[in-house]
Amino acid sequence: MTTIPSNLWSIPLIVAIPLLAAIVVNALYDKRAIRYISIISALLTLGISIISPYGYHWFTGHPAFDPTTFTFTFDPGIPGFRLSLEFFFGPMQQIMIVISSLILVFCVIMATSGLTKHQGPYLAMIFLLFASAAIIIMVNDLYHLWIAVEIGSLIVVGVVVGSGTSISHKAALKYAYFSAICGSGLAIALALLLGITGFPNVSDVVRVINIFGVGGMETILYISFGFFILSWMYAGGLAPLHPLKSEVYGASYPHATAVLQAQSKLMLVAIGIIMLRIFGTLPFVKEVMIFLSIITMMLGVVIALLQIDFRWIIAYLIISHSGLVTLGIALGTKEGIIGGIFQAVNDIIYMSVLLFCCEALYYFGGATSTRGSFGIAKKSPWLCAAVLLGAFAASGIPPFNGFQSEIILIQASINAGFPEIAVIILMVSVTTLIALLRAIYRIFLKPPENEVAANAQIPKSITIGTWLFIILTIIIGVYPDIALRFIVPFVEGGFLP
Amino acid sequence: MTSISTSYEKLKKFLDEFISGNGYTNIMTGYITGELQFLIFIIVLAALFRMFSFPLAIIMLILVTALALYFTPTIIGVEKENSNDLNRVLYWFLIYFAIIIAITLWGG
Amino acid sequence: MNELRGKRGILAVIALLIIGIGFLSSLFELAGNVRPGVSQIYNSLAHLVAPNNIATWVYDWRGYDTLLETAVIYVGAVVSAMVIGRGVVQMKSCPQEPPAQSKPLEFHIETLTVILKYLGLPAAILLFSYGIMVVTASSTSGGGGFQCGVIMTAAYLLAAIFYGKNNPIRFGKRFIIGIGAAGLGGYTLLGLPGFLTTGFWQYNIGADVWGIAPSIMRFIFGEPFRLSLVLKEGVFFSSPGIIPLINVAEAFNVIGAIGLIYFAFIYGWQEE
Repeated sequence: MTTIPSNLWSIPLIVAIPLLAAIVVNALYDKRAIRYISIISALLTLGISIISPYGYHWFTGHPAFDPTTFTFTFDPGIPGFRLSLEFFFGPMQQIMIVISSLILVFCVIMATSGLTKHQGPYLAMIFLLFASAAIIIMVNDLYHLWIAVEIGSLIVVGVVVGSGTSISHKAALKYAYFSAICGSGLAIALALLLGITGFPNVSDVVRVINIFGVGGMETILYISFGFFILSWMYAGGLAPLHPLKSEVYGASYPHATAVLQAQSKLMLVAIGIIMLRIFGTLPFVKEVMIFLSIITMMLGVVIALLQIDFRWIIAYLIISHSGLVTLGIALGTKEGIIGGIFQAVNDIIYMSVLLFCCEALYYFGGATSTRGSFGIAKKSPWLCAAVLLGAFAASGIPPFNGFQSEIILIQASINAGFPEIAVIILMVSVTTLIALLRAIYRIFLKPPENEVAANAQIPKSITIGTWLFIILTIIIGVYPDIALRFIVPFVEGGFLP
Repeated sequence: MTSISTSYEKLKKFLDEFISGNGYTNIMTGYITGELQFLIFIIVLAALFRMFSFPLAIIMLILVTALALYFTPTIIGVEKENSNDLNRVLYWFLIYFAIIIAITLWGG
Repeated sequence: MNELRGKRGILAVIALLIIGIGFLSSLFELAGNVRPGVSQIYNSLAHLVAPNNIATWVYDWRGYDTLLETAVIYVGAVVSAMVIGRGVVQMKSCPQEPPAQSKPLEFHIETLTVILKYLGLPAAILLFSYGIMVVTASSTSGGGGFQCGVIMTAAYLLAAIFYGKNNPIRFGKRFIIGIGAAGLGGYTLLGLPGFLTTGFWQYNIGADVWGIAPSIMRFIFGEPFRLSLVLKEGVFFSSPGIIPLINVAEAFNVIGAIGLIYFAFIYGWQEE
């Protein structure tokens, strides 16, 4: 067996390359070179995450302190207290980052070809959005956890503001307002944890709590959990903050929403697993997480039914399906966590299909309202086929990927003794189909009553991106092991080697 | 509390308003589906309280069903409570946070 | 605020009370029970790097976290300027409402006293020099890149307030964005020497606490910043290594970021 490195080369590059790309494109502002630099950086990140081996990275190169022998060691296999801040890149991180960077590549291509000239700062935000997602999924220390949530929320504001409409400005302001509450809430949670354990590394915190206990200071752990869950709600858009997050999704351009939703799914998975690791043994913790997930699922999908714009329907469905992801993690069983993470992967993929189709509608003059009927199917039958397939995948119809993860979640909830949850999951998937088909019928299938641009040219990047992700939904739907072989070892191995 | 027949009348009147009054539109189908979905959701959610205690679940189930029938159509209220108004979100945020703190801190 | 009146208001107050009681009870429990944990190990090693313990904490132990913290300042400035109109994008295919563009701030300097008129500029110059002093002494005394950046942009603001838009310190658009980019980019790239020689990103090769850096790198990054501590037990040497360089980059970043915010608010942002 090969030893796990504590200085894996790929981890800092996955964060530093998007960071440097963001700095450069922001400084270039409106030059043509932005397009090439962005595409090359996105491809580089994708390539690195594909070929990278697994391991840790101890930033600034300080070793771990082994309390049994009073020596310092660079071997992460020895359970010592980490002096450095730590990232971990494992199979689960790999599949999450690969899929997010694939979305990043298409998002960057679509943005650079479809947007007006001054796109440097906007693209910088997109790159940093990806970086914050990559940080949070790899993170294993409290400092970076906080900074990823903090910079992540700020960048979400930037991406939304970038579209420059009054709706997006309002959405961004409201979201930024809650970032102040939830960001400082997370800081309090982490400060309390640091106070009772003395260690910033999540593994060390868990070890200290398990070995030494908290010395009758359970109240602190509970309050810390309370504040922790605020940031979970905030980063992922769980109830009661779903109106703000869905506004953010709806008010930004669809290609940006694709990255935004990937980022929030990654945040939900990462923060959820860290919460399970630290607080999982406390009473009522899982119950609170389960109830939050179910309320999010049902509110998201019910309100999606009431929307009259395709973008907003997708926005609320993203929220609702975030509830599916968190539900699996909240169940706390191995099967549930596997289902939750798998659902996150699938969700990112099929929501991207829908969002890319939504982006294509901009080339028909922004025909996304369900008030009118535009007959897009006649003008672009392939786009209509793509959006229908995306809708089927989102509703968990076989042979698409949504089916595979939802069936794992349903089994997990029945095995955990909650058949009611299985009923709710089924209802969510059925209602998803109703909500989507309502809009698809009006916009695509119904004979046209409203005029749209007659000779609209959908860029190749959108077509290729949409169909690539549809193929992915079918491949994962038919051979779920392609994704599960990354997720199962991560969960069975207790999250970290 | 209304009897079952009066709540049936209420629901029928509510649906009649949709179909004959303001006209049958595609938005209204969304509302009707949403209304029915929401009713089922909260009933299932009430049943889930059995994870805390079984009698509590029975009480919640009866209470929620009665309230839901009494307040039909609920979907208008649901939509209003889930608006993106900052104060409303802040209010619900405080309520959720307080419930989470109360349950975890004093529930056990 | 209608939502928070009446019954809802009472419920919100009860909720706040519950949250407050829970939070305060946790703080009371924590008082006097804080575990030192890893900080004991840090403190025992700190003398091997910079004499200013906080500089070692912020830029060495958790240096990568500070990099992202620095990025937060940078992003905050870019987003603020974006709200004002810098870098707002639209779909080419689908015209929307015109993007927000802000006008320059309306302010006139008419009632400047003689003292301010003649002492304003020297004060700004002094502030600049003070900023330079603060950043260069980061590893030995209080201060560092953040503080230097704030002090220098304070000089910029002072000049703008005293002398109006045509003040002596006229940072241009490109200069401000360039200096911010150089700062954050420089900080990011300072991780490279350690990464390339030892595999650890941002390993402090100048201080080389764990003896894993090549001696030539230790010489290049360590010697110029070497400090000696003269005690009656003898003379001790240490080197803060890359910490002073990081602080300079940090200062550039903060000047660029805060300068951009001031610039965007004073001059507005309109695309040519």
